[in-house]
Formats: sequence, C-alpha cells, structure tokens
Amino acid sequence: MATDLFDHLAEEQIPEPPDCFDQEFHARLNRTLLTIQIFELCVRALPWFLQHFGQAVIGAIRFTMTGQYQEATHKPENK
Amino acid sequence: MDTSNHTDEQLAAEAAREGSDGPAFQCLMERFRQPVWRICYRLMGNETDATDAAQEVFVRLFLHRKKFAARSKYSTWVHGIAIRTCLTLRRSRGRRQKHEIADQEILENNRASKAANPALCMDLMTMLDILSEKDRAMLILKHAESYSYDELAEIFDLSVSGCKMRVSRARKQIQQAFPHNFP
Repeated sequence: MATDLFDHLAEEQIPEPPDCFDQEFHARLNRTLLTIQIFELCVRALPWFLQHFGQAVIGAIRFTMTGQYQEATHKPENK
Repeated sequence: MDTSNHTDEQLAAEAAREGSDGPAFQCLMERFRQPVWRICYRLMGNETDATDAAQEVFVRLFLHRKKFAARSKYSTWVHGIAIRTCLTLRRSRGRRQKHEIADQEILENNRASKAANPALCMDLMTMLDILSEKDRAMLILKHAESYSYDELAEIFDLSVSGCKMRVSRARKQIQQAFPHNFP
C-alpha cells in the first residue's frame, strides 16, 4: 500500500508493447538506414561530380573564348 | 550463435561488430524491449507516443551501437538513451499535442483500466506537468520505477546530492501548487 502520494505513480499499470512493435521497428530502421545512405552518397558523390563536371564546363568556356583546348600537362612523347 | 548466457556488455561488443541487426542486437533488443517500453510509457504518458519513442530508442541504439565505450553498464547506457529520447520527443512535440492524444486515450481506456486507482494516477500525471521535463522525468523514475539516486545521477550526469535536491525540489513544487492533495 502506498503511503506517499507520489508512490501511487507506481500503481499505474503499464500495458504490453503492441504486437506489431518489432515489425514497425524494422520498417523504421530500414527507412532510417536508407535515408542515411542516400545522404552519404550525395555528400560523397557531389564533390567528385562537381569537380569533374566543373572542369568540363570550364574547358568548354575556355575553348569558346580562346578557340584553344587546354594544353595537356603530360604530352605523349613522339616516337 | 548462442547468446543466452552472454552478458549485455558482451552482446553489445558483438553487436558493434555485426554489419546489420544480427543475432547479438536481436538478443539485446529482446532483453531491453520491456524496460525501454516501461520508461517510454512512463515518460510519454500514452501508448501511441510510447511506441514511437521506444522505436526511436532502438533505432538510436542500433545506429550508435559502436559508441558504447563500456564506461558504465550497458543497461545504464540504454536507459540514458531512452530517457533522453523521450525528453527530446516531449520537447519537440509540445505539451498541447501531448494533452490532446493523452486525454483521448485516457477517455478510451479509463473504463477498462486495471490500475488500483486510475483517477489518482491521472491526476498525478496532470500535476507533474507543471514541472520541467527533467524534473518530471526524475520524479517519475524515482517513484514509479524505483530508480536509486546513484542510477539517476549516472543517467542524468549529475551528482547524487544534485539528484536528491532536484527530486526534493520537484516534490515541494507539486505540494505548493496542489496543497489540497497533500494533507
């Protein structure tokens, strides 16, 4: 028997977790993992994409302005 | 893998090595489903929010399973995550929404409630809403779940005397706000 009013808090009965708890948890976990993986893919792939796409765009602008391709830094040797 | 005789800490180390939710994590989930559910139900106050919070706790346990450094017991770590998750969810949802759902569920479940004195429990939960989220959580865990002050101190990252002071202050605050309930 509770003597303190606050001890009545312990008398509240806790229901069992819902039957579909595990199923819903796994669905939620899969959604979270998918979101994280898509985010990581974007964060890691974007810099690479911007670098390569940016170089191509800059090269195209340069060719438009000067009519010359960028000189290759390592020219193949003439045999 | 036979996980039945492994300690929580051994299973946690095994779960950290697993690439997905393998047998070790499944076993941990099995062991902590009930304690986590109890904490979430106590702190969130209704079944819908408790389910949401408990699932969020297990998602966080899975995502952060490699961060358990064994500085404390695994159960303390899990309880800490459960409590912080509930506090965050309660803060983010706001009290108005919580009241709407809780009131609806209380009305539906009141007839079938098996509690010794459900009206009193409901009144108490309403009274506790005047407290800050942290004080409310500490008071509930202390009185409803019989946590020791040492456990509370570890979970809330406070000193034992600090915990005692906060619980005592919260009790006084309730007693001053509702003097007719404390003869």
